[in-house]
Amino acid sequence: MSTILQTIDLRMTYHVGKMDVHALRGLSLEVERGEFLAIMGPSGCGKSTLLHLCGGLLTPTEGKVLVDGEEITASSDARRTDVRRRKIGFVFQKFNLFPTLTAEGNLKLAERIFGKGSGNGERRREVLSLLKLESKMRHKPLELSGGEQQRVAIARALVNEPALILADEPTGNLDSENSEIVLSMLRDLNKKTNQTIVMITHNPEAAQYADRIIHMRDGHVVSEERPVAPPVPEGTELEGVHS
Amino acid sequence: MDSLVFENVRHRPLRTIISLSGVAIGVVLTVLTVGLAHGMLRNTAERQANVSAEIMFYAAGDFSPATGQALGLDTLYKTAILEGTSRVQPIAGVAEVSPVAQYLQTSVSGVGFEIVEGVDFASYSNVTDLKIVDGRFAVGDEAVVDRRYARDKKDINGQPIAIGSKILLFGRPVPVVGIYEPEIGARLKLPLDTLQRLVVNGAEKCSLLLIKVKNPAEQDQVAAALRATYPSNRIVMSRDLPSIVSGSIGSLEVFLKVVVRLAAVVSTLVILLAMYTTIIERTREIGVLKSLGASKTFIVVTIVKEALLIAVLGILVGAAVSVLGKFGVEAATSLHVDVELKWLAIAAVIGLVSSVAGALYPAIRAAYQDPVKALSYE
Repeated sequence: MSTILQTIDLRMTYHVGKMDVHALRGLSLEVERGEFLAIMGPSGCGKSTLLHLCGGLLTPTEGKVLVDGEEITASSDARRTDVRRRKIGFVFQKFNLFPTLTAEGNLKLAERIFGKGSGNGERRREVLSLLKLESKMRHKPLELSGGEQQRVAIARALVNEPALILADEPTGNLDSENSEIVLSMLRDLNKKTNQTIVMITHNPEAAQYADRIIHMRDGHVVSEERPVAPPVPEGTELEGVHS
Repeated sequence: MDSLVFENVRHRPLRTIISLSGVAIGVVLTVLTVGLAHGMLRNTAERQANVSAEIMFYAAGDFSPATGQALGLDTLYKTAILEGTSRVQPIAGVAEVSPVAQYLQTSVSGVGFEIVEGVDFASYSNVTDLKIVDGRFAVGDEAVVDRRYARDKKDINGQPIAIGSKILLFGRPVPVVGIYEPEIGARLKLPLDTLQRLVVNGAEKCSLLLIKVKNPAEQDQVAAALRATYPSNRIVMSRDLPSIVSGSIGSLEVFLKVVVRLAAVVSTLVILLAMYTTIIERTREIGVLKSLGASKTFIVVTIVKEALLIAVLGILVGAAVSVLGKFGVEAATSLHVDVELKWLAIAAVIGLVSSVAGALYPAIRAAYQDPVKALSYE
């Protein structure tokens, strides 16, 4: 297995008024290709900062981030944007779909940003069908349930086949039933397509779906565990996907 | 249509309507103001072309071919020029002199203004190409109108004007007894003495004298004799009218430039405010675009495209309103509006450029937003 994401002695300090807030204090981490990693920790421990640094949305105060072998920390904003476009898919707690676009339109927009012009209709249908959204392609976000919206957001993150998915509390806005469905689909994607996923969560049950859990506190990794995967709820397996 | 640009325009109808109205106002302001100015000048020149008198003789003071003058000239000048008096010799080479009184009144329709002319029909026919094509010359409290006036205006009963129709003049119904061609001077003409009675209590006054010379080749000598005999009066050669009108255009162009620039500023400001507000509303969406890997250029282009789409809609609406406005103005008033393709194109370019200029600052601001702050924007 090769390393898809690596952070080396990552430090991030925010200046709030005259105070310095140390969000990360020398965090080093490696994520293998095809791994499903969950990051847990109390609020303010630096989880989201870590995710934003890994996605090139922030520049660290010190340290390095390497995505698929490319160092993004010393790069220009344009270069980091390019890496994010080619190699990273984001999934957010609040879904962050474009409300004026249909489910398929949201995917098309991601394809356009990727540089695929009008995109690949077959690929969009494949991804939406993978997430059991074939019948919802023409629906706008407000016509979808929370679980469906999050699945569209996952489909959007997947449509350009990124090397890495960064999910920030993907079940934070979902009820337990929809959380289970979304987590099972993420795990299936990971197992059957070897998709690397890094997921932040507060929920210990959600973290159990990952291959590995790291616990953070005060900007450090304090412990690591390998959970036993929970059973897949009936009817949530991804269809048409072969490992 | 799954396009962010189209959907944003479609799903924010109020913002879209306000923004495109701003562009449309710019287009209407430009096209109608320029059209009105050019239309009136063209019409003035066309009507003047039908006057065969070579010289116009005015009282001292400012001269305005567009509006005429008040009744400040004594009609006795006609006799003096043709026959002389105990103090001045007659002017040699003059064939005919026709006094014309011009009076600006509220339009018969009640909207805008129109010039009413009092003429001595016998001499006026000798110094212009005027011909009565229907009915007869007016006598006493009667009027004649030109063909277009008869076609466009209504009588006091709201019916189209024909021989025998009555129109309201100086607060009284006046019968139309003749229709003349071609268009010369004012569209509505009364006998000179009637206008003098109504405006200056019957005093022998007029606004100008139209002077036709016996031999057109000698018009300069006649004008020179007039200037020598009547140095305080203003003598204008008919052949100089085009350059006088051009002179008016010169100063008019300055005014039009101001109007066009004002239109551009209005369009720019409306688009700037609309797009700026939109960008603030959509801060989180900008953050999402960045998280998807959208470059600064992509974000700027997306926002500018949205502004351009609004501008195109505004230009179409503005052009339609301008054309409707032209017909409305011409139907309700005696004004002429020339909606010119050239100026429609200029207004369209101004609308597009203003929209890009207005959208650029909000677009650049959006492109440089901190993605993490944008994503956490509520």
